[in-house]
Amino acid sequence: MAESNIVLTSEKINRESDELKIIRAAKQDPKVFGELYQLYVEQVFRYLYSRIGCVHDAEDITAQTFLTAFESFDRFRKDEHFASWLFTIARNKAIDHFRQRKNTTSIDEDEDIPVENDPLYGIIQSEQTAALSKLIQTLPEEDRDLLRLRFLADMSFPEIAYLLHRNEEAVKKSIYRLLARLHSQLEVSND
Amino acid sequence: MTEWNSSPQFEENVRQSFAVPEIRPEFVDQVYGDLMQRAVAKSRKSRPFLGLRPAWTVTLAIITLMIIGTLVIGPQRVYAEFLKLFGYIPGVGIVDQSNPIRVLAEPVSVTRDGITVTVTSATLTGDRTQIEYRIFGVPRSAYPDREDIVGCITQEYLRLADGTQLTAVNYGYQPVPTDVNEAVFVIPCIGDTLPGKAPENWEIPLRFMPAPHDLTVIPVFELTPSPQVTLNPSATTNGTSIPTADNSVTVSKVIETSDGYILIGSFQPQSKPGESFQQTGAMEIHDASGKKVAYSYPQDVNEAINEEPGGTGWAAQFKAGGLVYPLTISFSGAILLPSDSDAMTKITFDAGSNPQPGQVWDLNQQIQLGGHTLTLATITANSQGSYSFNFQVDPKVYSVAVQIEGYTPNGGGGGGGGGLTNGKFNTSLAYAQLPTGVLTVTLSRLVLIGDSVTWQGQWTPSRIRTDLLANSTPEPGVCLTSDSVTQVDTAPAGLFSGATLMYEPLDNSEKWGLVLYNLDGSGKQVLATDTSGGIFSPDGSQMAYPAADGIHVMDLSTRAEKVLPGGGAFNMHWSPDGRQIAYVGMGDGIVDSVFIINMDGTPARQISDLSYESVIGWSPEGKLYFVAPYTGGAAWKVYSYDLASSTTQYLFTIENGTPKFLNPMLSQDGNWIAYRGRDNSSLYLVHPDGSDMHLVLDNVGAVGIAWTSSGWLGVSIGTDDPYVQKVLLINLDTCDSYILNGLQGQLEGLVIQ
Repeated sequence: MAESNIVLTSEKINRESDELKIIRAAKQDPKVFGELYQLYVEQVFRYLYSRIGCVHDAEDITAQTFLTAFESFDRFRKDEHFASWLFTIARNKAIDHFRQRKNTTSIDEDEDIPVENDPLYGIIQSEQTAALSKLIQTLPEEDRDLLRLRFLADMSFPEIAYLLHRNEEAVKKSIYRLLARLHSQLEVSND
Repeated sequence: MTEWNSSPQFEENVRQSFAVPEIRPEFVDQVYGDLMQRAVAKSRKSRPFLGLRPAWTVTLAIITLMIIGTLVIGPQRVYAEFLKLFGYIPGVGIVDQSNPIRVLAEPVSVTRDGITVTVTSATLTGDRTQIEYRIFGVPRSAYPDREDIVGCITQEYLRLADGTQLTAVNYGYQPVPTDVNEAVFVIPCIGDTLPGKAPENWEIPLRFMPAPHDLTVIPVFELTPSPQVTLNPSATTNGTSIPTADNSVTVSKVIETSDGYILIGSFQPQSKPGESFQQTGAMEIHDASGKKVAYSYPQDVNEAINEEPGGTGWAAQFKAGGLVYPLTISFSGAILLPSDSDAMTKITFDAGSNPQPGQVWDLNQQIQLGGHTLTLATITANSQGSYSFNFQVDPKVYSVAVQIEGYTPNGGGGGGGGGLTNGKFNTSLAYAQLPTGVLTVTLSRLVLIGDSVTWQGQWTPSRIRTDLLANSTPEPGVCLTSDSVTQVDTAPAGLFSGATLMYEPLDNSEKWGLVLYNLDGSGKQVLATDTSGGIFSPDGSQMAYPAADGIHVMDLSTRAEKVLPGGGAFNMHWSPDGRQIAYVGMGDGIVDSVFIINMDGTPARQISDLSYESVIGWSPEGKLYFVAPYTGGAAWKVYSYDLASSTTQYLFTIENGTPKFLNPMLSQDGNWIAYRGRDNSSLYLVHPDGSDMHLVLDNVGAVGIAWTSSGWLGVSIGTDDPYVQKVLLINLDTCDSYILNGLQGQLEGLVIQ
């Protein structure tokens, strides 16, 4: 299956092209990093909130992610994979967050979000999204993360593939399989 | 399972279902301010050399010297201790050896409704479980006919006794715990089949045991990102040269096989911002003496290739006897440059109120964009709800973005006319419903073709291998190898007389067709255009070829044609007595099974009901041979059909054939079946009873195959130019071989008088 919308793909290419220019400029002038921040802050927050389920903690880790990225930016060499690099930092920060919480509160070793904290149990906008939320909650963490990276972090298949060290086609197939499974489960639950 | 395609709406619902609140603007501003403060401080900061204290500088210098030293002597040895964790099992791939390896105790088959699922092997390691299975007997009718309908995509999994499900991970399934030696392999539905068309919920019980002591596990040596590799840019006809040294081509893993190496690496051209590249042609490897190294693609290391950064991995397996190092690995291509990003133009065309699939609008409209002239030659409405825009351009233009204003496409594609673009390309846009009426088409984002470049990297093994003979002896039965085939002489004039039928591009035309030649390349006659799969009659006086309206039979002396029923037929084989043609049929609800039609045009009869079959040929006694594949071409079952008794007999299974285009051909004396090997390049022979299966042409790029009544075998083989093949004639009793002069297409028929 192809990308669902050519226009979106074209916009994505434009964004990536602009982004490359910004990255090159930020290497010369640290202040330009602010433009990368503005490009990505929303996606990073969305991604982290979906994992953490608490606005305060998600903001805190979003800030940590960008500060770390800023301080490490000199060591960032792969200009064309900024999103993959940034979300690697974000994911690591999220894992650190859960580890710290485990150390202080001795919660379940599993890194999954406890149900009561899960944002999926927050604001539900429609019946279908409510049903979808429940279905997504039953998915393995690996699958949920694929959905977050694609639909909350707005990452392209190549960016996700690079981040996860997987083949682009395999990532694409996994995501479409997930969507198909969710769709079919949704139909069953509606019957 | 239901048929389903993702929609933007559903994807939006998924997004919404995460219920993420809006980000607070105050928070965004606060972090931005913090970043800017740090940025200002960073800008002001003076930087001492490497920012290190003197003691650390000395330490770093010592470490650096150590690294340089290790790189000179060969980086792979540095990693030798680490490498014992990873091994390569031929046919399985690269495996983690941190836990004892286990395998399947015995193959297991389950048959339901004529469909058999067989788990043939399993390899259990610490990091995953690899299961090999094959399916046979799925009727063609169980699969979708249309490309836009997706059948079953539900993943199979392993179920343990306690109910735990081990789901798919990259190239395998989650690892089976070391104390568990039994599992059930569950296939919810057969891949890509339609709901209710094939049995579902397959359960296959498996038992595992420790790997036998003689299991071949070869060490995998990992290299650092190829410090040995350098760029040797080569300017070509377009002029200027490309940058300085970089690491565009790297080698990351080395496996020492019994007769050579498998190299795995990455190809990541380093371009300037906004630039991209287009690879042209296949990767090439040359040794230090300039000899081109023939290699094959080892499919069992797919996972390692895909782990290369950015998914740009490559792999090559080659024999190394007599090679001179370093080897140079080359990729050729061209830089693509975005033109003026603001350049945009619009045209209109009237699609009418009811555009029909196949409808063509001849526009030949010249368009100026970014200083270049593009001609929009035609627009075509395609059957699957898309418009195709066909451009003719100057050779510098690579592509242009096309949109129809006010309509959002849900798919699209396009491509060039061969090579980079060859002066033409098309772009297609697909819609849920074809836009109608007067349409405004926007053209923008012109991309130009820049310099041609060759990216190169070099590799030298870290140790001299004494186990590789300079001139290794081919295995018994092999007549030619990738090396020796380059030494085959052209057939002397007059040695052979007869005719060949070639499928090749036609002069001064975009079309391909069937062309008749004498064996010395003279007497060229175009017999049919826009078709392939032509065959000579047994006496060479007629040619049959497939067409949409039926099977055309042409008298070669008069060119008179008659048409037999059988539209959409392919893979035709004429019976030895000239009275029948066997073919694989499709259309009219009957697809991909073997049919026989009499030359008098009496109705065809279907003689098999398996799917995706290929006809092998007729024996002199009139017995018909054909093959049917396991799903995906994992293997091929060979059958014979006796016309007198109308009975089909299973004979044997070809395990080493290519899944792509097996092209099996029975010799005219009925003694041998020739077919293409799993590497898509070699040629094997086997008797029709399955005996004496052996390699005869090793990695020569074999494609077209045709036997003659005199026992010579004709094979079209690949050349350095992907658009050109050569025709090899070989006597399999003596291995005498010749190249036929002046023939450059794919061999479809051969008569030697």
